[in-house]
Amino acid sequence: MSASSPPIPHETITRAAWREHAEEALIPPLVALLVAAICGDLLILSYGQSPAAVYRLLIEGTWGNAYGFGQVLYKATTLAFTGLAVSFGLRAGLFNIGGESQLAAGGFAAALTGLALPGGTPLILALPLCMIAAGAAGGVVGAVPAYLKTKFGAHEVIVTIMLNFVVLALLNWFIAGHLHVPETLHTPEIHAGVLPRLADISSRFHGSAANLSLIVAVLVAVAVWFYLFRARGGYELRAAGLQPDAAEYGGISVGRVWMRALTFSGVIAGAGGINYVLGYKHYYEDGFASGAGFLGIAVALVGRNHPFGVLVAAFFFATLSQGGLAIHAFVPKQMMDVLQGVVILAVAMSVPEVRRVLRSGRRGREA
Amino acid sequence: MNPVSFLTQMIRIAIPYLFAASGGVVAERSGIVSLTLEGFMLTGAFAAVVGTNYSGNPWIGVLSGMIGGLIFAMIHAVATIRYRADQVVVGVAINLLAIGVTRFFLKLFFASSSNSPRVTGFGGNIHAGGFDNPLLWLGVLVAPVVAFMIYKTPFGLRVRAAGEHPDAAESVGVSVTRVRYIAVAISGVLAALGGVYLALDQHQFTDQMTAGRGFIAISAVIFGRWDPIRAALACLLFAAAETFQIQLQGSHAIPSQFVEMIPYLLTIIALAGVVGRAVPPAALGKAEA
Amino acid sequence: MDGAEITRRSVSERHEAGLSHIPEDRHRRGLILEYTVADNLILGVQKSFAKNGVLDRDRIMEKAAEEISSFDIRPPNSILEARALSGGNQQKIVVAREMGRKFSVLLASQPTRGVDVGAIEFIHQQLLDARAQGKAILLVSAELNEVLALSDRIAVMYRGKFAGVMASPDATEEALGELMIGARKGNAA
Repeated sequence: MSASSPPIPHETITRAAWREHAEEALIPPLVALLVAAICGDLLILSYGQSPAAVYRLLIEGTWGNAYGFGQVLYKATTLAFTGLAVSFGLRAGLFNIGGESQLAAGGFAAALTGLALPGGTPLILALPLCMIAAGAAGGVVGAVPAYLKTKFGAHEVIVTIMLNFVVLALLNWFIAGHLHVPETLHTPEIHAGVLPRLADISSRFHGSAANLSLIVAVLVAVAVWFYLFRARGGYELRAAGLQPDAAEYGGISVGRVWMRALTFSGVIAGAGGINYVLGYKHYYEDGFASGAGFLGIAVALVGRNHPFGVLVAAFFFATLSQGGLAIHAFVPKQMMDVLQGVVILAVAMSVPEVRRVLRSGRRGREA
Repeated sequence: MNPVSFLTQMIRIAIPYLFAASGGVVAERSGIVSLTLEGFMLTGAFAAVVGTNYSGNPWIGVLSGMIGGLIFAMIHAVATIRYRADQVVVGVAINLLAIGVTRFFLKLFFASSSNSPRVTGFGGNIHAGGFDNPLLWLGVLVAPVVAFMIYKTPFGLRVRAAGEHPDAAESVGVSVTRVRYIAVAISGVLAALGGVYLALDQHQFTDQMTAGRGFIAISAVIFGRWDPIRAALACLLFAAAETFQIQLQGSHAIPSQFVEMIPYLLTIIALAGVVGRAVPPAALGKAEA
Repeated sequence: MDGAEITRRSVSERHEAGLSHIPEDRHRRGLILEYTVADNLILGVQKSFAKNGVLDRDRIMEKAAEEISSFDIRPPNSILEARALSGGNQQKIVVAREMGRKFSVLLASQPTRGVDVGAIEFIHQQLLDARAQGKAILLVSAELNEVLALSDRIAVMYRGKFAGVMASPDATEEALGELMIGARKGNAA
């Protein structure tokens, strides 16, 4: 920035800044997509099938018909909740791996609330009550690592992983011991709080599990966006996540940010329980949350920790998952399990690499 | 419940934990987070069954299991060391990848979604209580061997240096990168051996058969404060609790779910510093060196 | 400060008491590199730019434009990430923030380290202006020239203690040097 060069126009700088931001954000997921596509080709070929045919079947089975699309939306809803939860924590610099247990606890609380409320309670009352219960349960589970981190410096990664096992075992004990309908591992059907399915609105979606929790998920994403980027609390949270020393010097209590962030991360994940419990099966079933926590991490990562990116990523992973079922006749759906791992690995590897390449390139140009 | 049968069962249950935890100690001491033990173990289990199935010889299975673990370990190492990817995320990815890959090849080779054909294993003499299995003896010895390596060999010193003061180590000529690659490779091979033992003991591979044992191994590493012998003792402790619960199964004294929780609760308590501070290696998880 | 004990106060309470601080390590403690210039300029006072918990972006941009022009931060674009600016301009952000608020005591620690000549002069002038307005400034610096040029009184530290404090006219390079190596024991006032 020497004083002798002519001043660069304001708009050019702004545009360049936006472009740099976009590059660093979007290139890694695209790289991951490419790598996943290549791996997918290899796996498909190893089964003696044609990649083009299989991919076409994948698209047809997921976006090409209303039932498949509905299933994608249903799965994306749960992933949106856990993805938002993980990304919220990551914005504060914290890794919440406890999504599965928080989601399960939330679903459990929603089911209990739905059972406790008298049948016929209007949805306008039942839904918020169930959601508050679900969020609170998730928040309680999230508050444990929050407290241990703030008070004892205990690393939240290990605590949340461990707590997953503890909470899930506890829930299993409740169900298996006391609350289950005989011959099953689920609670009785709830009396109130049932959410309408998309199929109730348009018969084209008949048979799919997609329900109005989808709308709730989008609203939560908007709320998270607003909090992170427009609210003072979000400013402080992101500051603590990006540069805790500077945040402290700026008067922000990083410990309190951590407490709020991890607890709220749990609340968001817990709220996701409404998708299965209120919208789909209308009871809590042991194991319904399986895998959603880890996939939530993938969704947050691919979505670059941005609430709207998370929605897109959730949709993508849900497509992969549903797509596996659609192509099962040609290639085992297990291929999708492999691709999920590949995508996460590829994004994780490309984020620092892309940043390094882009920044050294820019520095070279400025020299 | 007689003490001899309790002890023999406890040791048999502990072997996978001992293998994986010992490997985990090595990698974590060098500064690389090892949430991947579960994935390595699963891969080792599957590869062992494939190798034994096609060769008829369990030792080939052991070899293929070790190779399987090594391959996944190298993926882990390249991603975290060369590409500086976030080590926790890579850990999650490796575990998911292991599940996916084993499932995919389970379908491809054995046309099943749930289990492989039965394979021969080691031992088999009912009266030997499992002690005619050479892998069991290997598992018993692995922790003292790793302890010796970490504390008494030059390589072990380099591992510890890489984990505590990578910058200082580099400045005296230690290639921290090389040390970490080797440490992660060791963790992969050892954790895979845990899976090999598991699969050959059960004479088949079933989907996700490791069932969280890799995470119990990490708990043991943390609870044992990153020391191989203490981690091994933690493994025995957790195995003892499991054995208790199995042998008491009929009596409903303590619900099985609560016994399941014990390793995890103990780890959380250890991290909270109630039973002495669990302080990890200084450079753990930061691959900036 | 002003008779009130602030040793155990929080950072924001100290700010309110009138204490400002330009930290030594602008990358770790002074700035959030991924935040924009505007967002960095309100760090520490974000509460006063928020209404009902929501940040008032217009007011933030206004304030940013003001400070960018008063402190000659270049390029004069408040939505650039701090990361994109040169060291000198990054430091000017910190200076603008810390000296732009109401303060009566300023701790300036290595304020011109890694900064280009033009910015050094600018920052020095800011410090002198503040002194002219009656503010108290504690300058910590390893640059002898800077210390000699700016200070009214100079204290030398040796082994964690004040080795001597002297008025600027009395502070020759030799005298300071002797205190620095502990050869002479001055009066620690």
